[in-house]
Amino acid sequence: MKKSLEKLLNKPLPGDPLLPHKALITDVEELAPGHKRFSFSFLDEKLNETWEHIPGQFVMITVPKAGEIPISICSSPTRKGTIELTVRKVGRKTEVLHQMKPGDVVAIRGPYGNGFPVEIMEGHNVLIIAGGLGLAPLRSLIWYILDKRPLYKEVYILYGTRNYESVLYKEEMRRLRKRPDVKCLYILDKIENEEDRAWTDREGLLTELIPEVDLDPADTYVAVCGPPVAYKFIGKELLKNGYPESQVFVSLERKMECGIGKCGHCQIGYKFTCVDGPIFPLWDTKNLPEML
Amino acid sequence: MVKIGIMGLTGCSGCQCEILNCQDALMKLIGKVEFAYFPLAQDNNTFDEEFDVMFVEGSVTTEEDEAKVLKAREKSKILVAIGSCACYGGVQAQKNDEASLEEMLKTVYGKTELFLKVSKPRAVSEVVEVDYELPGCPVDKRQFVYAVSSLLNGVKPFFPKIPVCHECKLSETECLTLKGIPCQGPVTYAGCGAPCTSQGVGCQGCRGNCDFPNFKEMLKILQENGLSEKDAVAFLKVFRGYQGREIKVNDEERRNEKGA
Amino acid sequence: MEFHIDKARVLPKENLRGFLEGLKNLGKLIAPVKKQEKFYFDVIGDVSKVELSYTRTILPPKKFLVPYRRERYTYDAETLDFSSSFKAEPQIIFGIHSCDLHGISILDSVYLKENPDPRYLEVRKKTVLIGISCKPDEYCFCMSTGTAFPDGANWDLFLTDIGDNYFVTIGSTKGDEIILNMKEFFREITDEDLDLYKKSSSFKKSLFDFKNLPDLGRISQVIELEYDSPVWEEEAERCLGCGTCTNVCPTCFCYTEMDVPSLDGKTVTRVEFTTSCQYPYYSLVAGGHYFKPTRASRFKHRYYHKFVGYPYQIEKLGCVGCGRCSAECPAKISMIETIKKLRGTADEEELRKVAE
Ligand SMILES: Cc1cc2nc3c(=O)[nH]c(=O)nc-3n(C[C@H](O)[C@H](O)[C@H](O)COP(=O)(O)OP(=O)(O)OC[C@H]3O[C@@H](n4cnc5c(N)ncnc54)[C@H](O)[C@@H]3O)c2cc1C
Ligand code: SF4
Ligand code: SF4
Ligand code: SF4
Ligand code: SF4
Ligand code: FES
Repeated sequence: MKKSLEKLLNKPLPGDPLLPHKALITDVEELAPGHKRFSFSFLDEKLNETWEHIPGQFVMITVPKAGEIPISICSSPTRKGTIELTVRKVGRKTEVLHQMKPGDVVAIRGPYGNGFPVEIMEGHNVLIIAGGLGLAPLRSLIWYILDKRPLYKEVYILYGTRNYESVLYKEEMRRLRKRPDVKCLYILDKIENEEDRAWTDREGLLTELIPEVDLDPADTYVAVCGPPVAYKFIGKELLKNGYPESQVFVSLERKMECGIGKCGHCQIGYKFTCVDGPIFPLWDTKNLPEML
Repeated sequence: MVKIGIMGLTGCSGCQCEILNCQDALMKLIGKVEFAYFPLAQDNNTFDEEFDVMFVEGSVTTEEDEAKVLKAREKSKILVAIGSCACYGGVQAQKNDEASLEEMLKTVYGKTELFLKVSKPRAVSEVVEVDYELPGCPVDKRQFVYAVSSLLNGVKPFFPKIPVCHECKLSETECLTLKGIPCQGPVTYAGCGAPCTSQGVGCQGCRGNCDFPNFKEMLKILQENGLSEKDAVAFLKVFRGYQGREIKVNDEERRNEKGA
Repeated sequence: MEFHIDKARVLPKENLRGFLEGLKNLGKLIAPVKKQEKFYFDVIGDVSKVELSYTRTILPPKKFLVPYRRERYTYDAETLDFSSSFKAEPQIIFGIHSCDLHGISILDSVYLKENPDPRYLEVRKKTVLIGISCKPDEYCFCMSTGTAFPDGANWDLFLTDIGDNYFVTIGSTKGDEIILNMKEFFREITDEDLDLYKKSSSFKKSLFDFKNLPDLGRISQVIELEYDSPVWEEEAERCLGCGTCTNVCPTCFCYTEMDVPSLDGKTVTRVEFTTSCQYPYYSLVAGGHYFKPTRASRFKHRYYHKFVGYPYQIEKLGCVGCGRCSAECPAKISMIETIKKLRGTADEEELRKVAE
């Protein structure tokens, strides 16, 4: 018997990593058609205090009767006591979740994944690029950075959506634009009405904003989250503009069942998205086939 | 109370009988659901109110079938096709693409004028929108109960379309294909528990296609196991109804297959 | 634990029956039995049914450590109180071949290294693993994967056939205790036993057709180098996507989870079932996007995971050369052949030159 293997068997029984904690829905807000924000607090008061996460991490939430789904935490760890999730209605489990109301009970386990390297980013510029629902994990990062603003240099936020209607966190994003300590560039796929125009006069793809970012690429960390099809183009544009691929971090989605490296579904190349990701440096495209 | 209907079109009523065999589940349902329409099992059947869930068995083959299923769709929030006739057209649809209706009628009845007005057998989904399909000949009891309990709880059921080989492995059944017995398991949607193969009979494909079936290799293997190409195609088409159109014999047609 | 030869014992074959009966007192006895032409691990009532010289079972003994369909929890749909009826019973799995013992060690690493699973650990703690020596057939390639002998794996006792006797090596204190408690069946080893035992490894080696064995030297790199090779497409064209290869594999661990509500809606059962990366739904996410959209990409993924993924994840190859995936594949796709094709004829020729 090998020593390392024997050790594994001699350990005491660990706690069950798949067992979730009960949580109460405290608030629900409709953000855009088919998108809602849910706020939760754990029934176990202690857990509310001890809960910690890193922006970019996700939780597995049990939607009663329907099953578990991975959802990024969209609230910042700097704001304790509640965790928030942004959920798009896309299928059987999210449909059921969307019918739930404040006061209903769900179960949550996590946080899982690696999260954005917020500490490594300290002392550098940060460029945040969000497409559509990709704002969810990045919202956590945005507020984390803003709450610790002095630790970071320049901060840019690029946000692209289909139209004004599908903009998430409209008020928040509007307020951000007014802050002097962040630069916000918003863009819409197509400007079709007055509402759209009032939001921004920029029309086109998110990639078009990248050359306008006035930062020293070598001194900048980039965080990207968007629809899977967008990564290739955004990645290419960032490299073209001189951002080092080890400093560009993308948040990826895969099918997930367990969140802890046991079910296999989320594999990208030799890595598990759930434990080795979901945040990957662009550099990993070299190692991981079909990453983007 | 939740209103349920169970309707039979052209078929053998085997699926409805199978439902009646789900005694434990049916007993639990009494008091929670109302079987407002189930002519096979009860006398007083109404079609006047809205149904929460309507289960439809059988293929759409007569004018009456069509009228019934159109009305069922109109009256039901959720419409579930049960059994391979309702899901794919059933055994009666296996020659749909090879013969005209007239030829079929002449062969079977010796005449083209019947007392009913008939069309070629069609799957329910070829006539109206279907929310869920529970294939099988007959429908699988456990799947039916799972679908009912999910739907009653407001959750959509989840049925991954994996091949029957999965269930052979779970029951550690010796692979018949490897023994030279024609078996359709590798291209057939699991969920039955592999009762045929565990009894030594090759899978007959009654549950229709799994996701992205590899018919090319299946045909090759069936031929290696003793069937002519024509017989192999006919064997695969017995239960698949309209899905049988996915069986392509030449490479040109196969080129653009999804998931290939 | 170091292997000390003085800890080995000899079990005369005529005592095997008594030994097996004795094992039954320790818990559920599981061993290979015959069903039609094939073998499978089953719970044993009548010890005369135990097959000692089987080739391979359809499913590996994994099914008694991680059942293929398992209820993880039951929870209350209103309060979300989770409970579980899980209970691990003592069990003895007898007659495991070396490759499968290595397979179990791989599962040990998968389930216990990171985010350890208490259920697996509990089952494992209550399981006694007793291996037995075997003769390879044309599908076996444990010589290439380094798993032809039980060294380096996690087991309790291992029986090597040395003619009239079994040479029993002891792999753990649990194994040692079993022998102590059933002393009457065992005797001390003699120089002759030891001599026979020493020859057993070269005897096993001699049974392999070395020309048939795949070369797994730097296999991780080969798979990466040949990632875009047309061989994948060629082989995958025959693949039915039936999932047999992963379902029969002693090291595969993928599963899907499913919540099943009761008819009255009061309770929900969370079920986990073994799945396969060869099924399209495996990589399907909401919106209908398949991350592994083609047969070739799914086919390739299995090899990639076995030979690149596992080494990264648990620092061992994910294949123990048991040959099940090839022996059971309805399309008769052979892992050995695929690997040989991937390495290419050039590599093969080079190898032959060196050998000659
Ligand atoms: C790390 C991570 C973070 C995430 N963060 C968020 C987040 O912050 N917000 C958010 O809204 N989502 C997020 N998601 C995505 C979210 O997990 C999925 O949208 C959710 O699991 C969908 O569950 P569902 O049951 O509603 O959909 P399902 O009905 O389960 O849809 C998904 C499955 O259904 C089937 N399916 C769905 N659509 C189709 C189709 N068109 N055709 C065929 N089959 C289909 C497939 O089996 C697919 O796997 C995240 C995912 C990951 C991995
Ligand atoms: S018997 Fe048929 S269904 Fe079963 S494993 Fe073999 S090919 Fe698949
Ligand atoms: S067993 Fe063979 S046919 Fe089935 S999925 Fe594996 S390689 Fe393909
Ligand atoms: S990949 Fe095949 S040969 Fe290797 S361990 Fe799995 S089943 Fe056995
Ligand atoms: S990904 Fe495939 S090969 Fe790897 S463990 Fe899962 S089923 Fe087995
Ligand atoms: S989600 Fe299960 S392994 Fe990553």
